[in-house]
Amino acid sequence: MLVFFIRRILGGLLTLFIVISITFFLMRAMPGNAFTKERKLPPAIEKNLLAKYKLDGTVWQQYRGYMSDVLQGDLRLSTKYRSRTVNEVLKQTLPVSMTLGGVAFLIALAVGLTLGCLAAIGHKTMLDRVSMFVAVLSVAIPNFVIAPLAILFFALYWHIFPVAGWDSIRHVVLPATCLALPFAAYVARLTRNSMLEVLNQDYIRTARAKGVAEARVVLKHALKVAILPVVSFSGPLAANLLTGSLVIEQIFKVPGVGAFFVNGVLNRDTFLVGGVVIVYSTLLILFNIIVDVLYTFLDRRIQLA
Amino acid sequence: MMRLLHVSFLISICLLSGCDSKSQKADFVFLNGAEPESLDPAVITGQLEGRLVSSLFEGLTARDPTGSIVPGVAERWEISLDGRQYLFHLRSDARWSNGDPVTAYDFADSWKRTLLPQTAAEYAYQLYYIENAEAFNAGKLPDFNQVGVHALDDQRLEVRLTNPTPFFLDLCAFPTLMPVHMKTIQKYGEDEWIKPGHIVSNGPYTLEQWRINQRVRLLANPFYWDRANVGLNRIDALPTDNANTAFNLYSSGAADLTLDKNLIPAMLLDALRGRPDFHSSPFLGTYFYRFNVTRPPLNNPLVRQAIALAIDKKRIVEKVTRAGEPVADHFVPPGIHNYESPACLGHNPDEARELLRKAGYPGGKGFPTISLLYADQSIAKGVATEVQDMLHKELGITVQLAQQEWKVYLNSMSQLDYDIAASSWLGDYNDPNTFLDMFVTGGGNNRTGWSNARYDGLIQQAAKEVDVEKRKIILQEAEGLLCRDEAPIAPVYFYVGVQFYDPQKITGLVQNVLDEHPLKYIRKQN
Amino acid sequence: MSATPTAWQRLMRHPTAIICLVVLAVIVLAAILGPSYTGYGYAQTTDQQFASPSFEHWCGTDLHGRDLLTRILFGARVSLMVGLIGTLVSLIVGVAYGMIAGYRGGRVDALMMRFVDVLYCLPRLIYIIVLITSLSRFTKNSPEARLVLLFTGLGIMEWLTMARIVRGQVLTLKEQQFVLAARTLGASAPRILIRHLLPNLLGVIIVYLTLTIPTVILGESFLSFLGLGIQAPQSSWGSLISDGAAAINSVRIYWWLIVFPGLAMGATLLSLNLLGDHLRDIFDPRTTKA
Repeated sequence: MLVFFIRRILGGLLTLFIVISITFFLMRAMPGNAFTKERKLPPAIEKNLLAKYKLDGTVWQQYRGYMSDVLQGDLRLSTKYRSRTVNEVLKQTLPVSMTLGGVAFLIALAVGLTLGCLAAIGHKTMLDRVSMFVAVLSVAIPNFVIAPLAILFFALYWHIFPVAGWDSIRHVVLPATCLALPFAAYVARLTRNSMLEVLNQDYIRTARAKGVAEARVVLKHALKVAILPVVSFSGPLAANLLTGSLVIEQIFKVPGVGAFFVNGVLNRDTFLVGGVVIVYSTLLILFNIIVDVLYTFLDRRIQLA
Repeated sequence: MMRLLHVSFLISICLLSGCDSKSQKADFVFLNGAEPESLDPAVITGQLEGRLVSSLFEGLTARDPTGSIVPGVAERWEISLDGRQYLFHLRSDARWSNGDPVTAYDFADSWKRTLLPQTAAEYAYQLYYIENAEAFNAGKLPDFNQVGVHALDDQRLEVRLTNPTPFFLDLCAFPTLMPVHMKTIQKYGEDEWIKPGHIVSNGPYTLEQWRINQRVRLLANPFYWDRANVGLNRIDALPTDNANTAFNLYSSGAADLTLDKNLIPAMLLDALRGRPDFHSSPFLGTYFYRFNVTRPPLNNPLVRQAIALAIDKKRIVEKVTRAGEPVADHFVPPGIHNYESPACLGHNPDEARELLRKAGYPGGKGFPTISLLYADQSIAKGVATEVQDMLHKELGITVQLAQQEWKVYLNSMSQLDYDIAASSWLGDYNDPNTFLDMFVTGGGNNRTGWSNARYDGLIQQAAKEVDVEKRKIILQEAEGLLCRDEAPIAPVYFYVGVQFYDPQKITGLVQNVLDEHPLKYIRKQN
Repeated sequence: MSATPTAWQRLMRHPTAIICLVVLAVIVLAAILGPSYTGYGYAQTTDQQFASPSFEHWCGTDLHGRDLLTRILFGARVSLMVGLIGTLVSLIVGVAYGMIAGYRGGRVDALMMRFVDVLYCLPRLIYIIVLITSLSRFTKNSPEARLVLLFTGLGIMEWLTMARIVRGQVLTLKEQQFVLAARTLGASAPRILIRHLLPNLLGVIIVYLTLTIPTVILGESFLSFLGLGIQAPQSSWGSLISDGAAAINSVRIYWWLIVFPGLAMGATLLSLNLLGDHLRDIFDPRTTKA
């Protein structure tokens, strides 16, 4: 067990190193720099700016300087948000995105698993067909359409939730639900299919024959195995939630990290993008490790490599 | 299973505590535009940052609700006959938010900081009108004492300019020339001093809270000399760059005012124009097309004039932008002090076709395909689509649309790697010079490759001319040369500032040509 | 090899699958023929701005008075093309990579999959944006080049999943009798891969093809929302929908701008997804009912 952890963490660190390096070189290779503005900068001032942000010298020099700072925990300054360090920006925005993503994750799993189980149990009934249809529907409409519609109805017309912002628990509901929806749908389909497969196994039939109640059969025996594909999907789910949050955060004015994914690149804010990439990749690596561990607890047949 | 549910419930409670719960509600909330890049007066360049900085700091002069210059920290001033020497008398009751008095030394030190090469202030060139300031900023003159700004004592500041600059008092109200509290900067460092809790400011407000992409909260400054006239105690400025989100916040009552013109959903403008809470007025900005005069066929002025004449500007402002923008036949927007623009190229497709024929492309035959470069998605795309169609219908020439991402677009323009480029320019101060000095030979903001010795001469002459009438005539001649005779640019429309607020509840906002609405004067009835 | 005729017959037993195929066929046909027969050009501006659906304009018009139906049909061409070619790109790269890794096994496989794991941890969105932005200088004068850039970028995002799945399949297949037989007869590795393994992978490949196309189309719509999609005045479903999403507000809704493109894209993605589900039921041996 310990060996497994050490191996994975070392592997993760190596991955992180490669990821940060690739990102750095790509960002520096892009045309235009952080200080290209509508009003042309006098060259002397531009030179000073580049020096202040340590973006002068050869790319190799910049890279070495950057990596040594990162290893000491200093993610440098943001070139767009001038008085902010990247650490400060992440400190303010990361908890917000984690909350949004976390709540969305729970909603996706809770709704998805429940719906999927119900559909599987009521196989070939109306419940099954309708819920699967709705599930597929929500993957066919992009979330930048669902979100404004949700705001229109739930906030502007019916005044149930606030329109945008992030000041109270009421502000969390709409963005988290819109974010969770396509994933809830996917989890529902996944659960249903895998549940159907499990419910046909012999040992389930035995349990039923022995007179065990249907609910108990499903919850106690079938779910543990059926949930495996969902668990392995959780890894990519986390990643997608982080990227999907981009749109949701913009539309609902949630002060999270999502904004920096795109804007960071468009503003050529090398160090902010570096910071965001570190966060993203670290989370993904951690999540994959957790998923692998969970997998072994759930399915005794699988062993940690 | 149950265990899992319990755990998830606990986790969600913990997660939800990651929500920020504000302790108090603000008296007034407005939508400012995107997240401010900085609040340091020496560093900022944008209009949205300027709004916040002008509330936190105050310069020698300030603006009233109509945008006119009024005394700020300086209660009176004397100007020499040759227009080059200013003596400012600072008021004795001006204070910083920690009680320290505001002195002339504060101004001298702040301007020095702005001009220091290490500060890398992007708008340092606003101070270049001061004697030797440019040399100091370029690092060529190490001794700041030779720069034309001196504090004679605590209350008196003497400034010497290179040329008589009629708009210098305007510039004194500009954020770049506002003072900063040097002791605070020395104590906390260049990046930290601006944060809530550290910052010391001399304007009507101080900074109470600043959370990225969430809000900037201003609190009335108890030490401000004009405290009695500050209407609102606590103001929230919400950052957003999504027009629909901004409008939703306003519609639902979460915000009282929208100030930034980019925050109005363009599609709705004609429906919103009749409403009592819709307020608009022209302001000093022009939307225009640049021509790359170094490349054929646009190196021929006849071709450029033809294109300018073929653009139906009225259709564009009626169909695409729809905020009631005035059509731009010339470059300098109307409403500038002491200035009327000469008549330049309007909309005349017949004349356009004639000019194109004279240039050697009758009916557009033989005219190569050219590209039209633009950056942003909504308005620029709409205008470009119409122009592409107009040029095809009226002149028979084929224009390819090319959308590039913002920085790439700026790069392409700087490197003259384009044929026609969509552009805009906002004036920094209320004088035609801020629009016309762009196009001198080699000017950093020229970006057309156009070079005209007579134009350069006229601009220089105007800079030295003290007499208002004579200067007006010189500038008119320059503008005619720019927009009519040579036409390296084709102006399309003048910007209109749009604000949303309920006039029954909110007062203190006056439509003005600078789109300046100092927060100090706003009052709200509940 | 023998799976195919039975599979088709099995597919035909499901009415929903038949409906999906019909819908897709109609859409593809409309995309190919449609834009020429509506009587309007997709870039043709008129004076009737924001006209609601009528006899002249079945789906209404947009900001520039352009006929929305023509733009939807033209957009169908673009979106389907992007979806198909993007998926093919991911297919070719993913299948080749997965086959090689799976067949070689051992160290090579471990290394190759490690590489895939690393790539999985990259925020691919950022790299797509970097790619499209950096190369947009070169696509300045050609909307076609812009399209190629788009499919390549989107295809690159999807090949990883394909590679993993194919590799998994190959690992199981290569222990089978027919492969051992071929090897004993002296067949070279490429021959085995192409003549023996590939036909057996066809099932899995088709399933994931059907399920990746919607992902790529949605990806393109996301890029359009960010302003990185197709070049104006061309239209894709993604660009029409993201423009239409701006029409959702509380004052006045030009409903046709979002409803019609939404229906077109929704119907297509729905059909592809349902079809893919059915195909997966058919080809995946584990879900076969006893």
